[in-house]
Amino acid sequence: MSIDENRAETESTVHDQKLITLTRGPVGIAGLIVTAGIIGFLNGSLGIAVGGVVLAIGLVTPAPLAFGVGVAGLLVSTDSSLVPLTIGGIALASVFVDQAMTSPTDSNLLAAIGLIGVILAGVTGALLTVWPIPIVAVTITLGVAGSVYLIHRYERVTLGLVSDIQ
Amino acid sequence: MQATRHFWATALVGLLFSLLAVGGAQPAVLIGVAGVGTWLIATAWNAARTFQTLGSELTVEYTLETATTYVDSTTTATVTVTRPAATANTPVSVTVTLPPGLQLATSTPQPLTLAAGETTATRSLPIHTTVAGQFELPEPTIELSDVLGLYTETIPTTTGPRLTVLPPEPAVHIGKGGQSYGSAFGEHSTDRPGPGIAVRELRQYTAEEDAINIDWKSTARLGEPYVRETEGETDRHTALLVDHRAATGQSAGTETPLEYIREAALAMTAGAVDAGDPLSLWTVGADGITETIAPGSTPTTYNRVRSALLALEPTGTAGRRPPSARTQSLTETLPTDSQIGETLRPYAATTARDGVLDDVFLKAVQRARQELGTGAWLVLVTTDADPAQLRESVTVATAGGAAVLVLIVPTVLFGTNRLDAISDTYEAYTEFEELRRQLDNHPRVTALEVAPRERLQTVLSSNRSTHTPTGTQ
Repeated sequence: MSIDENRAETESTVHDQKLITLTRGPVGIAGLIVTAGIIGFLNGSLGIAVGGVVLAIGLVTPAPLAFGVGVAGLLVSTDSSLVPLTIGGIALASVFVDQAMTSPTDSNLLAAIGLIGVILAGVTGALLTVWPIPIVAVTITLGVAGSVYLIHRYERVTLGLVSDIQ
Repeated sequence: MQATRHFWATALVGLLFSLLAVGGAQPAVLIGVAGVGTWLIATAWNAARTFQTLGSELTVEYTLETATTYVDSTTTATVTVTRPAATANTPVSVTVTLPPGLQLATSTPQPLTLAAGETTATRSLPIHTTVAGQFELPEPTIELSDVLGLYTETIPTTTGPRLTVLPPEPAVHIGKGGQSYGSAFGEHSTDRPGPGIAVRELRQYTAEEDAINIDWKSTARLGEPYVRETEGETDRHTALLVDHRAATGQSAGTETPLEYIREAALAMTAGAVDAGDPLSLWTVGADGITETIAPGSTPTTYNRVRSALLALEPTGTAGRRPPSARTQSLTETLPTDSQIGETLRPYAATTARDGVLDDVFLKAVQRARQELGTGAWLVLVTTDADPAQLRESVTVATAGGAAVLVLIVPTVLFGTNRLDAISDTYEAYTEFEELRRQLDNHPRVTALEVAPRERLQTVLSSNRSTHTPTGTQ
């Protein structure tokens, strides 16, 4: 259970009358508003409606779900110009940043998000110049999976949980 | 690092975007792929760092109230988890598992959880023992979780303590000649006036003493100032000197003299605890004193004494007769009516005495008496395996006017249980009883037998029809 869910659960218990509880902090709310605005800007009245739904769902759901709904909202647009989509993507990333900020953790997670985000965005952009989107998507996906697995192995080795035979 | 369902839910979102990108070829979908990927890598890295820090700085203390206990009894294990405040931002849970034969006595909540923000937590676990044996308690399982609940990890910790579970407490007879003896403990009257409750005497007040001593009720009744004197009460230092040499482990059956020595010493400890008396312990093995516990009347001292007694094991090689017994036999075999016998007898006797003086138990008694002085009540708990050594030990223990309690386990009761040998056992028991009575005749010595109750009753009752028990008081 994520911290946001924990917080939501606790607040729900304390305030029984509250049916819906905000799970976003100020940064996340701001990012969602920007995203909803971009969706509205790109798609007219339909975009405003979709943006509203993205904002409403994003305010009350866990970070990964809010991010997914936001990206789905951006996909409604038929305009594939990169500038508004990039702004919308950066704004949506605020839901993760927001969760990292509201969690009882140090600034290392925020720094890691920033650094890895920049690297991954740079790599994606660079790959797009040479490969088509599907291959870039598969490459990024495999790269992320491999990175997480490497971190997992590194962690187990440093903790002494891996025997010599393994 | 194990992924939780929250991790997999997030990864699924990323995978959906990836599939959309493959199928739809929209660049916006790549934002989803890269965004979720960033989140997963960053949180994995952060979790790995958190687990590494906790792995090196988290301490788990796993201790037992006592390292040795009996079957069907309860001992308490204590688990304490501590971590620095800087690492206290994630939840930690510690689960204790027990091997077969041990079980948690009550519905103790498990696991012990250290919530985010907490730096230390302690839990006492009452462990009930169901079978005898030596148990290596498994190391507690520590489960770490990252701050976002995406990953968990189980890390190794300190090894669990060792618990020895002894067979059920034997039925012990403590007494004289088969008759049970009252407790050696209770209130200790000093036979001297002093602070106390019991009235010693009522006497006239003298002008030299403090007026606060006047008993006004008696004064009013008798018309003159009177002082009510009370019996002085004092703490008596009990010094246990416990034998655990090889002879204490010799037995034809399953029970050994050491088990009865242990029970007698534990009973003395319980008595000292009840009376609040200072208690000290000296244990004597084959090579001399194996452990000493300084006098004290604190729960810690009492627990240390109990633990030391419960952990006693026979030491040294069994089977050899004591030197004094060997030389004594030599003296007895010398011909009485020949010149050579008369010439050799003094040398043999001297050798016998030297053999006794070299005895480690006797040396321990000497040292204890020297260090404790005559104020301490020395309690010798041993067997009659070497009567000459026992006599000499009691002599040394009573030196300087000190009082001694001798608790003797008759080794004859640990021989064969064959019915045809029971009359021999009875004869040997009467010899033991003779020794005990000799020791008990000393005005400052109380000598008691410590024996298996049923075995002693069997020996006494089987001979009652054909013998008159001469050795009883």
